[in-house]
Amino acid sequence: MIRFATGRLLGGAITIFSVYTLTFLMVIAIPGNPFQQSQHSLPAEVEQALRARYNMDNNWLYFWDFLGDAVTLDFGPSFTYNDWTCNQIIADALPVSMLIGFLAIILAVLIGVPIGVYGAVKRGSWVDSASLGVILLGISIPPFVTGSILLLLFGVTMKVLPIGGWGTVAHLPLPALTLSLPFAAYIARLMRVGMLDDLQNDFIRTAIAKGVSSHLVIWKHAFKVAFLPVLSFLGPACAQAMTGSFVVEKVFGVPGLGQHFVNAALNRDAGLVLSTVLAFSTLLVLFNIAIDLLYTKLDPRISGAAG
Amino acid sequence: MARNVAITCFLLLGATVALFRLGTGETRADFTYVNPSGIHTLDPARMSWTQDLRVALNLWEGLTSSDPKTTEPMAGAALFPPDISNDGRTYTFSIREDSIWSNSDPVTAVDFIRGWRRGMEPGTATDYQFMFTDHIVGAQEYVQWRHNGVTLLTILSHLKNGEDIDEKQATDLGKLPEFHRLAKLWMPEGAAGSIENNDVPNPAELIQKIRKAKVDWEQVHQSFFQRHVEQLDARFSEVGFEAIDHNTLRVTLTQPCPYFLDLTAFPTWLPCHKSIERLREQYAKSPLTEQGLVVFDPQWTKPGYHRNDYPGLITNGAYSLIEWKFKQRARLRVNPYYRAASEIPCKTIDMLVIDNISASIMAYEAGYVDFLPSLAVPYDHEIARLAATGLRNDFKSCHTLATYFLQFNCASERILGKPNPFLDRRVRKAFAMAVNKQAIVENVLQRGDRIAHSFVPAGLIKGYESPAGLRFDPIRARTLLAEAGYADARDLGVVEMLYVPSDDKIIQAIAHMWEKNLGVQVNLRCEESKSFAEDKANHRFMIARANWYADYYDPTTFLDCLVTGNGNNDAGYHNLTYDLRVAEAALAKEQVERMALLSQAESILVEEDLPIIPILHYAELIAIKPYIDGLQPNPRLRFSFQYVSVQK
Amino acid sequence: MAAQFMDSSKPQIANEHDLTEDMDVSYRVEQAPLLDICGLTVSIETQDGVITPVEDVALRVARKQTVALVGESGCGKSITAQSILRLLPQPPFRMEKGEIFFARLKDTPAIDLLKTNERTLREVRGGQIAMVFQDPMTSLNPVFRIGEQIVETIELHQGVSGQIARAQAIELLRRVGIAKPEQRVDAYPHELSGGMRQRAMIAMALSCHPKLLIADEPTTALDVTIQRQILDLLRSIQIESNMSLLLITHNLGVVAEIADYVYVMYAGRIVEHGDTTQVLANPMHPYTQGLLRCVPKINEKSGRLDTIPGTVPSPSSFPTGCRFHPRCELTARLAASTASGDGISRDSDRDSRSPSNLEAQPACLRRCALGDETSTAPPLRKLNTDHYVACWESENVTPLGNSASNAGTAG
Repeated sequence: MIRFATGRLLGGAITIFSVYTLTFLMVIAIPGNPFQQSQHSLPAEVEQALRARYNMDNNWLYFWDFLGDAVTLDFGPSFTYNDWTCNQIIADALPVSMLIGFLAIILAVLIGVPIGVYGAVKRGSWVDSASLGVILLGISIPPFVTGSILLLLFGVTMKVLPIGGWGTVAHLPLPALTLSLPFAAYIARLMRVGMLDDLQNDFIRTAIAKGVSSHLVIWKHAFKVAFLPVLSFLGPACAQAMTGSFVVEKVFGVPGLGQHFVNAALNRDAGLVLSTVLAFSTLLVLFNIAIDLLYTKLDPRISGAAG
Repeated sequence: MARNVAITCFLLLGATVALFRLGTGETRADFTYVNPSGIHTLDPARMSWTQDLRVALNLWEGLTSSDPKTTEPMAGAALFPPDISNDGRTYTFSIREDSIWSNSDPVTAVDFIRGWRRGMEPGTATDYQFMFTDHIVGAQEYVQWRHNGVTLLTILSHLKNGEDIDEKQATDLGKLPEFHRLAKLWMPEGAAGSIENNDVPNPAELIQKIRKAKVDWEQVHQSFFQRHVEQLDARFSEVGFEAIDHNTLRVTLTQPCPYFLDLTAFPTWLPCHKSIERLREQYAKSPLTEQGLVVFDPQWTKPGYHRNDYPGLITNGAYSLIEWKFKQRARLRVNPYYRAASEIPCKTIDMLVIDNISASIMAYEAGYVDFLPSLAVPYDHEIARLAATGLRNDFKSCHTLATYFLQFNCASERILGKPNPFLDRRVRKAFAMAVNKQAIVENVLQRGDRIAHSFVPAGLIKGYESPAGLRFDPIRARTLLAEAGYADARDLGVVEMLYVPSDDKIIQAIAHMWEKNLGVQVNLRCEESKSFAEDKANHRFMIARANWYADYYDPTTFLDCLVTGNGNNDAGYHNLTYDLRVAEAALAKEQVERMALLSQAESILVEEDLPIIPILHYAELIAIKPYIDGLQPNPRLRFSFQYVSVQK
Repeated sequence: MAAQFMDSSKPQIANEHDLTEDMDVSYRVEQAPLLDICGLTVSIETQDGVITPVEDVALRVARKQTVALVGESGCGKSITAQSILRLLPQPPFRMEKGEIFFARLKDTPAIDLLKTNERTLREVRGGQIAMVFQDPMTSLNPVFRIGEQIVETIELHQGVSGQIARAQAIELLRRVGIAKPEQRVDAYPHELSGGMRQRAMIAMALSCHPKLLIADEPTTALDVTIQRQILDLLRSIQIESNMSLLLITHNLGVVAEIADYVYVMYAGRIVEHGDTTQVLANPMHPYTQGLLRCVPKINEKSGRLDTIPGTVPSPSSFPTGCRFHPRCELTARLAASTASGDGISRDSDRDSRSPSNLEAQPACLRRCALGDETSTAPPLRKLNTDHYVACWESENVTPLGNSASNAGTAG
């Protein structure tokens, strides 16, 4: 287990480094001046001073300096928002994105699993067709549409939830729900397929022959095996939900890291782009490793040495 | 197992919510408004965004303030009007006794000089540095001297760290007189060429020489650094600021500036509290960094920042900053030491950041927000209609001191692989006359913008009369084009327009007009704003969109842009007559004469030469709740919250 | 002598005495069979239509009896077995006709398992009738330990839990011959060998002391040496616990080893049943004879292995009349003898016996191919008390003779 984890961590570090390098190459390649912010053209001396200040004279020096500082968790200043360091921005925004993403995944599991299971169990009936319909809608409708509709419904018409923003528990349900729907749909699909597959197995027949109630046959015997593909999907899904919530953040005005990431790219804010990329990729890698370890614990067949 | 999954889910749900300590929310402030993009910076010397300026002018008070209705200068922290010498070049300000910082320190002349000196430092990277260098005696020389020093020190510090310098740095080095003086010490044969002979050394050779020279760069750096630091104060004393006593401030200008009192209301001229000194980098060791920069910890604008005993942001305006959450909200509270504090109706102000303007409109409609300074949504014509017909009294339109226009490339000989047709003023004029601006404003945008016949918005600056400009005349346009040698417009080839996504409707309308009225073939190129800015700065366009917001209350804020060599002259326009007029106006003794000369200059622009085609002057749509008093549209979108009261 | 026809749709009793109505109820109940399948017909909806893999099957298991159901792959024996506990998913499968009576409690009449409610059925499953399946690797849940799976059954039917159930599970594992049961009880199925897995399955089946154990090809997936051990185990358990055993198999050797009574199934129908020794010593159905002939005998030197010509028909294309008739050597012989030297060999195609050629055939062959006015397939005819056969020409079947006496030693 230790060996396995160490190996994966090493691989993860290499992945993160590759991502960083690629991003860096893109940052220096794209046109656009990060220091040009107002309608006035930037005087040459001013730009020069700024570059010296931010250590951007020499690209490769910057590459290693930034990485070295990043390892000690010092991400340097943001070029666009001069009053804030990248550390502060990420420290404020990352927990928000993580929270929304996390809640979205939990909701996705709570919504998607029953839909998938009942769709499989009542195969061919209207329940199954309804579940397939829900799955299709969830995957197809983009989040800014569902988000806007929910906002209109709960925020403006019914006035029970606030219209975007952050700070209270009431700000959580709508963005989390909007973000969860595509994942719920996918989980439902995985669950359904896994369940259909699983119910064909012989050990299900054994369980029935033992007199186990159909409820337990589904939720105890079949579920544990059928849930495994969903579990392995949860790793990248968690990371994706936490990092890919840009649209949801925009619709609901949630101060998460997704919008900082996009805005940093548009502003050519090299410091912030690199910081967020490092933050995101580390998160992704760690989550995937965590889920892999969890997976080996849950499925005794692949735990390698005697479990 | 499923039961375990469900239980785990609910436990995690509860735990995460509890962990983030999301409470039930704060109490509502007296007045709430929305800032869609958030505050970029609260450093008055560095800010340029209107939203930032708005907050800064509520937090600080300059020597003068702006009238909330007309934006003309009025009394600020100093007595108004100040003492002005007969030649109009010396201003003596008396700072009021009741001007007090939010920590009860009195505001002094030195506070202003501190802020202004910061604005001139290369390390601060002030966008509006030209306001000092254009007007204040000695400012240009000081800035140049500092800049040279910083360049040299930066390169020397690279060298002393054992790093190589590249060609660009070598080129910069070669241009510095300081370097040549230094070089004589350790390169007896000189650095091949000298500034006196206008002879800049070859960068590659210079790099070689430097590599070969056996010099203790540490020592060179150190000695130059010492000398530079020693001269700092002496050099600065030659700049035209002087603190006569603790509340008398004398400013000496290079030439009379009729709008100087408008400038002193601008954030670049705000004072800076002495506590900022605690956050100077290399504080107490040396006033400058290794590269010669004066740098302060950028966190000085935070209310709760306490490193090195810093007390948090201290301001001298009507409000002080209580809370600032990045891209979320900021809260202002009345500065108890402000002279009119007791008369200010709204004690707390909330600034909410809602990026999605539709969402902010929803919040406004639902009653969470009192004021929206921006209603830039795709359905803004609807809002304009509601405002114009009186159906919604809370929607208002501000006629702004801003112009949207098209720029021609007047500089490049060839563009897109063929000769540049827009070098000929007749062609430019023809294109200008083929645009039906009325149709654009009334049919395409329907937003209530004003048609622009001139560059400077007509009638908004007192005493200035804009020229009449050209009218829509497609027949004359075609004739002009024929005169220029393009009887068949297709001989022009493909004409390319460069723009950004937000201009979609306007640009397509104009392209269509040119195709219809002139018969040219127009190609549209849309770019995202940063790439766009880069292409424009490098003259990689035939025709590009542009806009300009007035920085101060004078026509020169617009007209200076097209002077030869001005950093904002993206069109590359070069007309000696025009430059002459503008220069004459600067020297004019009387205001009337000055305004007339400027008007003449502008008529060259918009009636004869047409390096630009003015299209419209923006109408900014805002929303103010009916129970709010004390806020009204004004041409520079400046809103002072100290006059706002809530009648509920 | 005309054979006595038995109406196979009425309940029958597999002892010597036929019960008559003037015997009292208690005796009848006591002597009534534990399991009584009457006229079971199962159909499946497929893409190509409805097929009937099991037709009119009657089978009885008495208390403490070991009954074997024998047949080739695809003859419908597994479907029959799984129907008992209603394990077949109802949308494709349908129980068309028939009843399955099970004497659940001592003094009450038997219930029809096909019609009883869910709750009662769940009590019966695992508690009173247990089943062991063919492939223990796939039949055990891979993500649960075997101890957990046994304990689950115990908790379900016996109401004990926790430590007591676990102790019982360990005891069961010991009983079925697994060494170090205290350790093995926490093992996962993939950590055990094939034989041990099957033992664990048996332990799980036995955990609630069922009255009837159905074993569907329990040894087919195992090595020959393990097969013997498992069989011995089953036998010893059956003797020890007064349990009935219904054994599904295609291996006649296994049948000879442990079965008291045997049913032979072909193409969805029972073609012969009776006391094992009798049937194996004196098979009267050409199919059974064919099967016995195919078993290689150790002490005989033979050139080629005997086979039954042709293949087992698929349920979508069962032959008319007697389903065995295309492969039956009896019909072949009869056809040959009447064909007056046309050179028709035993392995000739079925055309000579197909309905279109029947004008030329003798009446008996026509009956094999088409049946008569009472039924298409031959009904089961009683030869003697413990031997019934379903063949139109049972009189003309020649006994196997000596070859049968060696059947017991083969396999």
